[in-house]
Amino acid sequence: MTTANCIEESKKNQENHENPSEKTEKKTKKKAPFSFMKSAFAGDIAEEIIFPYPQQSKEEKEETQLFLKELDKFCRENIDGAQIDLDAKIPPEVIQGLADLGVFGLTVPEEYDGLDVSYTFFCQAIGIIPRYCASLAATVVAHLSIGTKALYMFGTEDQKKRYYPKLVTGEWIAAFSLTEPQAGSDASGIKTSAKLSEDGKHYVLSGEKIYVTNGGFASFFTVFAKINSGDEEEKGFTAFIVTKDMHGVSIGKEEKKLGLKGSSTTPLLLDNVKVPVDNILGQKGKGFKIAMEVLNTGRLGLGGICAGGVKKAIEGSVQYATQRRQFGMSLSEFGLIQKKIARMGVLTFAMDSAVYLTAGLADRKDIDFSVESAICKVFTTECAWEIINETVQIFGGSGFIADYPYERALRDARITMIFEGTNEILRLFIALAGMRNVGEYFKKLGQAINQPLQSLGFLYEYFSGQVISSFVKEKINNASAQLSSEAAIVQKYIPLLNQAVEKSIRTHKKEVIHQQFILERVANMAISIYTLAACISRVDSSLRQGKTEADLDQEFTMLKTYAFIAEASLQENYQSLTNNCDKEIQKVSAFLCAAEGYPLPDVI
Amino acid sequence: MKIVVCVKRVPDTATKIKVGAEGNVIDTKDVEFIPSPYDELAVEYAVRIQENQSDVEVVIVTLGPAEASTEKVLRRCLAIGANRAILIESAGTDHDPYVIASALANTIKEESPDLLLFGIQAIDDDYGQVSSITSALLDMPLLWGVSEPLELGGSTVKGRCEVDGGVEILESSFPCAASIKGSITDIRMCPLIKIRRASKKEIKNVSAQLEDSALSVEKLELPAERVGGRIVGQGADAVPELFRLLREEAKVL
Repeated sequence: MTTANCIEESKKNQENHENPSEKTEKKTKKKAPFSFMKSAFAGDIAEEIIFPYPQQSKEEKEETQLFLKELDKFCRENIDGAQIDLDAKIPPEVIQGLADLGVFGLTVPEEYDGLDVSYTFFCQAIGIIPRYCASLAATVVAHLSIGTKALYMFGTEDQKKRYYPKLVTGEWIAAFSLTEPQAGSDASGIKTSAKLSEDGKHYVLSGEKIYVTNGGFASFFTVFAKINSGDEEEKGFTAFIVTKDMHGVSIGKEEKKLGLKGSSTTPLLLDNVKVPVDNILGQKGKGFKIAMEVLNTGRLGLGGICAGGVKKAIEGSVQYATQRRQFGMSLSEFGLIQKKIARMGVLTFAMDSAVYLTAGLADRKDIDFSVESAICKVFTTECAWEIINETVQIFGGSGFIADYPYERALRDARITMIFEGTNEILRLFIALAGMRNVGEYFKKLGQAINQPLQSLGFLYEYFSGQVISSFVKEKINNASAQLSSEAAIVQKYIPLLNQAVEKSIRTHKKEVIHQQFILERVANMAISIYTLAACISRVDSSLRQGKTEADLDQEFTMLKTYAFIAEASLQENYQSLTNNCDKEIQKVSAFLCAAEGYPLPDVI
Repeated sequence: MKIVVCVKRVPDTATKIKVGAEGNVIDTKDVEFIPSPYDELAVEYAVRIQENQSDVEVVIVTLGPAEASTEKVLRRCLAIGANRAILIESAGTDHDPYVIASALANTIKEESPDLLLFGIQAIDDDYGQVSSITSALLDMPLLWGVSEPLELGGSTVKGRCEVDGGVEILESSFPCAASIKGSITDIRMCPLIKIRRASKKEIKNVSAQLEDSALSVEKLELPAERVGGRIVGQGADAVPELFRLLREEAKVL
């Protein structure tokens, strides 16, 4: 995904959602739910979106807990992650067992014999699997979270009738095919073509997809291709359902990988494949929107995997640190190990808080959670990497040895920062999606200046009220008094985020989309704000359920620690917007690129 | 045929037990409850009978506080496949076996089951008496310690019961009761669809006037934590201190 794509992605996520700046004029009307983070970029603390922290109904909670127990038991008794890694293959009986439990029906509507669980349920369920085998988790989410998601969101009744019976039982595994050799992050550059047949009944697809998760054994592919008809409506790309049994479909060689070795990753080759016109998913030319919406929920699922999976590494770390003795003490008595263990716990607390807040928002179905799910993806994948890396460190030499599961965990975790949108691209997306609202406001301001007579009211508002501060809410009123010092951090940095964004737009105008150093800092600020706000809301809800500060000693201590971490990151990113060595960075990078390597001679 | 299965909720075996402030009960706050494993096997076994015969109804009866954790235990039994459940409301489950058995018997009488199943004992207090007392109160013969599937005839039940040092083959007419040992069957995986169906099944709460327990728990104590050894000192100088500690602290001399 290029920067331009980020903007396009941010645009489509905004459809059906009101622009906050337009709300000024309708202050008296009840606000339509928007997005907590997009509001934050505009300097508005839309606290009603994140307070109270979402809760499952009693019935759903009971159902979730009973299922998680069952799933955990199945995984514990039937999955040998080390063997799967070694064989680079998941035994069919494991897939069958998951199918029997209903895992492949989790995201299928009930009328097609599925279970159609909430995102909150889904994230918890897929958080169990990586504790035993990350390859299996990747296989399952490639099917549920992205492979079949476009069918769920955009499929016609006829398409659902045709394909769900096989997908819900796991008889057919699904895959998502977007990436091509020349189009990775820049998805708009795909070359796979779709040409309408003369009789108008088929599209003929040709092209090559790569890095298709589940490619080796999938029967159902969500494929993106470009219809070259010259019709403006069909420009962009289109999503198709391609099945393995179609003539001209072939699967390339299994890739050898760093991690997730048990999962399948292959090219998908399409050689004049005749795909019935009925197999178009959603509208022609709207494939980008479909892909982004699928990835939106996919990223949240990945958050569930990371937040769940790390708990196994933490268990291992703590067990080892309390038992292993050196210098007459257990490792857990040493400050530097305590630091690692505590950080693991605190980051996991923040990951859980952010993921389940976002899942709750997604379950409401009336709210834009695209920036929030991107934040979850970036934050949880980087936390998971750090936690597993530190687990290896705590285990010392043993951590490096394949008899222990942590070298495998480290290899498996690495890809999460790359797939479903690299963390770099997602940082740009987070910043640009947030900036877009503010940009819109400025555009309006620009128009107003050109047409001053017609826009007096608007200009008056601008000059009298310092743009947005005239209508935004700058205080968190909902958080309990015990949380005021943490809430104060969020309260302080949301306006600063807004200022930073405004200033960048003023300085760089349209060119702001290419200011990646700035965008990254803005995104980092957004990540810290959202994750901290999620933690606050979570603890606040526990307080409101009647628990006391003493009952919540663990939560309070973790919150305080995370607030410290988040504030430090906010400070650093905010200050480096003005105080940095960006110019030097660009120069040094240029030196190396020009020299095609390290540019200086050996020092001695 | 109607099968009633008596189920007790017990703390999950993975729970870290804490003694409550009163000193004679466990602190149930934050404790996760499960059906006692032998009882769960009895439910599974009843459901298997149901799957192999027509017209079998499986009813769960439990006694415990009317709270979410008890309901979850019942939902679990319903997810295995039981048709409905009855919760006899009581503040706790720490009554003596006779009190519990009388309450169960009163409720079960109204259901008039053909077969009444129990787990052989609960894994928390291990009394193993409720099955005997309840079936005696209901005037039902009891096949105690059944280790293999029963032979269910038209009018009789035959069971293989393991007793100390041997095996008894017992036969009874209906209605009759049986307490189940571990080897009778195994628990199958429970798919989400069954869990969801269970959420729609009936749980009826009934109140009970419990008699006073004749037996009461005076005090609960966790086993003392094991402490490692300690070096008192070195050489002859340390001997007096060692003796003092052995006498006063360890109290072994």
